[in-house]
Amino acid sequence: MGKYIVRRLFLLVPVAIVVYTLTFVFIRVAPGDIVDLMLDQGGGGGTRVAAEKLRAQLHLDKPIYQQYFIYSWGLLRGDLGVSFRDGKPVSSELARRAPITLELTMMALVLALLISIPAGVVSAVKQDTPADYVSRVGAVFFLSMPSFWLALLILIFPAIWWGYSPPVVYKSLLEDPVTNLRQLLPPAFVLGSAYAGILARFTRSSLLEVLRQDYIRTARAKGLTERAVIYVHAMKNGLIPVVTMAGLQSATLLSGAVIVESIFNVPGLGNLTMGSIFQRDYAQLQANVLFFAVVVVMINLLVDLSYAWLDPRVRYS
Amino acid sequence: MRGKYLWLLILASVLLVALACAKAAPTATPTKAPVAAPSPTARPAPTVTPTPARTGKYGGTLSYAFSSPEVPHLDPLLFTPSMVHTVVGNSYSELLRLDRMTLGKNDITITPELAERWDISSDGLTITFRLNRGVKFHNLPPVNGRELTSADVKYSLERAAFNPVSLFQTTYSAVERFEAPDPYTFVIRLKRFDPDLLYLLGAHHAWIFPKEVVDQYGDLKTALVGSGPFVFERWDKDSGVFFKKNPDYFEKGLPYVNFYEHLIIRDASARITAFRTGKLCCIESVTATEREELKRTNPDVQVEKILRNLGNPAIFMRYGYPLFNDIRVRRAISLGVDFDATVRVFADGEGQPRGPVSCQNGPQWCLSQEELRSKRFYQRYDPEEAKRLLKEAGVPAGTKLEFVTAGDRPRRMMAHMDLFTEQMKAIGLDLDRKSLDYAAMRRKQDAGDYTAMLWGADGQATALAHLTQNYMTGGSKNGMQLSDPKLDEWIKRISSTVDEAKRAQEMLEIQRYILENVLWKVDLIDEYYNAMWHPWVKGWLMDAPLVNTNNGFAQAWIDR
Repeated sequence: MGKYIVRRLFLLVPVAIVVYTLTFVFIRVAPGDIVDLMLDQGGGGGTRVAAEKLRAQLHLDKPIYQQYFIYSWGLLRGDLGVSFRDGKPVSSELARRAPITLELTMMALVLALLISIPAGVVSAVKQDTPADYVSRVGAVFFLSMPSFWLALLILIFPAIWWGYSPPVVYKSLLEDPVTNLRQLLPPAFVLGSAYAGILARFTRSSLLEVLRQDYIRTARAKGLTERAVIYVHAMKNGLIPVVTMAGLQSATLLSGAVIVESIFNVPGLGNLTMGSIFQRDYAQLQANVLFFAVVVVMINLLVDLSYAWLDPRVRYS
Repeated sequence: MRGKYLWLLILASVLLVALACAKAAPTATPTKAPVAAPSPTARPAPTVTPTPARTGKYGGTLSYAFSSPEVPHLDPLLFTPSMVHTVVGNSYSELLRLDRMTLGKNDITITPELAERWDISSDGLTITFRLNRGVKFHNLPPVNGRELTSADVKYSLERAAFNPVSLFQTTYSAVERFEAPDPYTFVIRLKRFDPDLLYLLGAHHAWIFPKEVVDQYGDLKTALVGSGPFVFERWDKDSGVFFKKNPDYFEKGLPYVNFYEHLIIRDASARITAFRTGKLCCIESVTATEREELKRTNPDVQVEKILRNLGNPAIFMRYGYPLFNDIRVRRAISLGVDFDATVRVFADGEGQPRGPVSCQNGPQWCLSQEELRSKRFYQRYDPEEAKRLLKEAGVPAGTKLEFVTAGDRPRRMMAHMDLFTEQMKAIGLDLDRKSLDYAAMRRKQDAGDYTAMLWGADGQATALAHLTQNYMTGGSKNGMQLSDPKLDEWIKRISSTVDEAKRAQEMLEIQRYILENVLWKVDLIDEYYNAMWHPWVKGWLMDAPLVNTNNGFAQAWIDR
C-alpha cells in the first residue's frame, strides 16, 4: 500500500509537468499582451522604451523556451513567481485564497452527496414509481442546467420575491460562521447541484446492477430485512463506481468555482483565476492552474485508495 | 487746519482705494469653475443634500460596487480611468474640491479642501495657496499621523507633473514650477494662463500623498496613506477595497459612517441584485432597462441621470490613410451612420448625437442638437448622399475597409459594431472587422497602427481638455494621429483666452470647422448615465462626469 502511494505520488510529477507546460504555452500564444495591459493600466507613458523595459523585466523579451526554463527553474526552487499585477509572490495569494475555494467545494461536495445518494438509492429501490421519476427528472434537470445560469436564478429570484441576497463581503468561517454559511451555501448549492445530478444517476444505475446480483438474492433468502440488504450488502458494492465518479467529477467542482465565485463575489481561487485571466497575470494563472491540477490528481489518488476500504478484494502492491 | 487734514485724509483714502483696485489680486475662495455648466437636459435637483451643520446620523457601513470590474493597483498617477481614482479618493485629499452640490449645473463651484484660501496674481500666472493647519495624514506607517505640509503638496504635484511615470503630465503642461516657501504656503508658477488648472486641481488629477510612502514602496500601487475621510484597511484583489473612518479627518464631524466598502462585483446581474436587496447603498452605470426593472421592485429608490461622455463610440480614421485623404469619404462615413439607431443600441435609447466636444460640461461648450443635425454638417443619417459622395470620390461599391474594434468589451459595444457594419454595407463599404483585446487595441490606437477603428472615445474632465487632447498634434487622446497646424494654432489661442464667454464662442467655432473640414474622427453619441441609491442613504451625490473623486461618501449617512 505504502509503495503504491509513493508510486502514485511520483506519477504526480509528470502530470503536473504536462499541465504546467500546456498552461504555460497556451496563455502565451493566446491573443493579448500583458505588457500592453500593464502599460495601459500602469503608467510609464506607454512608450516603446517603457514596453521594452517592462518586457525585459518580465523575461517576455526572451523566446518562449527560455521563459519556460526560467520559470521552471524557479518552480524547482519552490518559487512560483510574482504576480505581474502587484509584484507580490503568487504563492501568498494562492495560500490565502485556496482555503476559501476548498471550503466552498467541500460544502458543494457534502451537499451533493447528501442529495444524490438518498435520491439515487430511493430511485433504484423504488424503480419505476413516482419517487423514481421525480428523482430522475430532478437529476437530469440539475445535470443539464448551466451553473452560471442557475447561479443567476438563485441570486435574482430570491431578491425579487423576498428581497434576499447572500452577503457580498466574505467573512471566514472562524471570523463569522453565520455570515460565512449564508454567503457560501448558495454557490455551494449551485456547484453541487450538477454534481448531485450525475451522482444520483450513477448511484441509481450502480445500485440497480448490484440489486440483481446473486448474493443479494441470497441475502434476501436468508431472511435479512430489506434495509439490511440495501444498506449493508448492496450499497457498499454499489458505491464503488459512485466514488470513482465523485473523484473524477471533483475537477468539475473546481472549474465551476471559477464562474460561480465571480457571480457570488466569493474571493476564492476561482475569482482570482478569473481576474488573472482578465489581467493576463501569467504567473498567478499558471500557479492557480497548477494548484487545481495537483488537487485533482490528489483527489483521484484518494479515490483509488478508497477502493481498498470499500472492496476488501482490492489489494495494492 | 482741521479741514486741511480732512482733505488729506480723503485724498489718501481715494489713493489707497485706487491702488487697491489696481493691484489687488483676485481672491478666489470659492470661485466658479471655468467649464461647468448645466447639461442640455437639466439635471434634476438632488433630493438629498449634505448639510454643513452635520445633522446626519453616525455609524454603519456603506457598501458600494463600482461598475468596472478591476482595480489593477492603487497608484492614481499610473492610471487614468476611474476605477482607481474612485477608490483612492476615499483616502486622499486635494488642494481644492469641486462642490458636489453644484456638479452638473451651470456653476460648479471650486471650494477649498486642503487649501484654506488661494490668490491668483493679476496676470494669472501665479497661484498662491494658504493651507489649512493641523491636517494630519492617517495614523499608518511610515508617516504615523504626521502633519501634512506644503512640502507634501509640492512633492505630490511634482510627481504628477514632472515624473515620467505620471499619466497626468499634460494636466500640468502650463506649470513652470511649484514652490513651498513655508509649511503652510504653496505656490504654482505658470508659463502661460491655463483656464482648466483650478478645476483639475479639484478633480482627480492632484491627490496629495506623503513622500515617505513612495520612498518605502517605490510607488503607490499597494500602499494608500492619505489625509482623506477614510483610512485604508485592506485590498482583496478581485473582491474589494475596505476602509474605516478617519477619526482625525480635518473636516470635523465627517465622515458619518464607520466603514466604507468599495466592492468589486464583476457580474452586472449580481451587482444589481445586491443593490436591490440593500447590500449596496448605491449603484452607477445602470442602463435604462435595468433602472426600470429596479424601480418595479424598489419603487422608492432615488435616481439621478446625467449626460456623460465616457467610452462612447466614435469612428477613428487614421490621419493620412490614402482612402480617407479625400474628405468626401470621411463625410460619407459620417452620413452613413444612423445616430438615432446608435442611441437605441448603444445607450438603451437614452442619449443624443454629439459633435467633437461633449455636452457633458454644459451647453455653452457644445453645438446644439439642431445645429449638429443641420444640412451644414454630416451628423445626420443620409445614406443616399453618402453613396453619392463615395461614388464622386471614386470609391467603388463593396470596397473593403479594415475596422478594428475590441473583442473583450461589453456586449453593447459588439452590438453596436454589428449595427455599424450594416450601416456601412448600406452605403457600399464592406467592413473587414478585426477584433482585438482592449489593451492591444489601445496600443494600436496610441501608435496609429490601424486603418480605421470603432471604439469608445476617452472622455476628458473639461471641454477644453477634450479639444486639446483629441485634436492637437500629439494630444494624449489623438487616436487618429491628426496633425493640423491650423487646428493646433487655434486650440492654443483658445487655451490662452482669459475671457470665458469669448473662449466658449471660439470653442463652438472650432467645432464647426472640425465638423466641416476635419472629420478624421466622428464622435457618435453621449449617453445618459444613471445613478441610483436607496432612500435610507442620505447626503450622497454621484461624481460629475469624469471627475472621479468619490469622496461623496464622506458626507453620506445611513438613516434606517
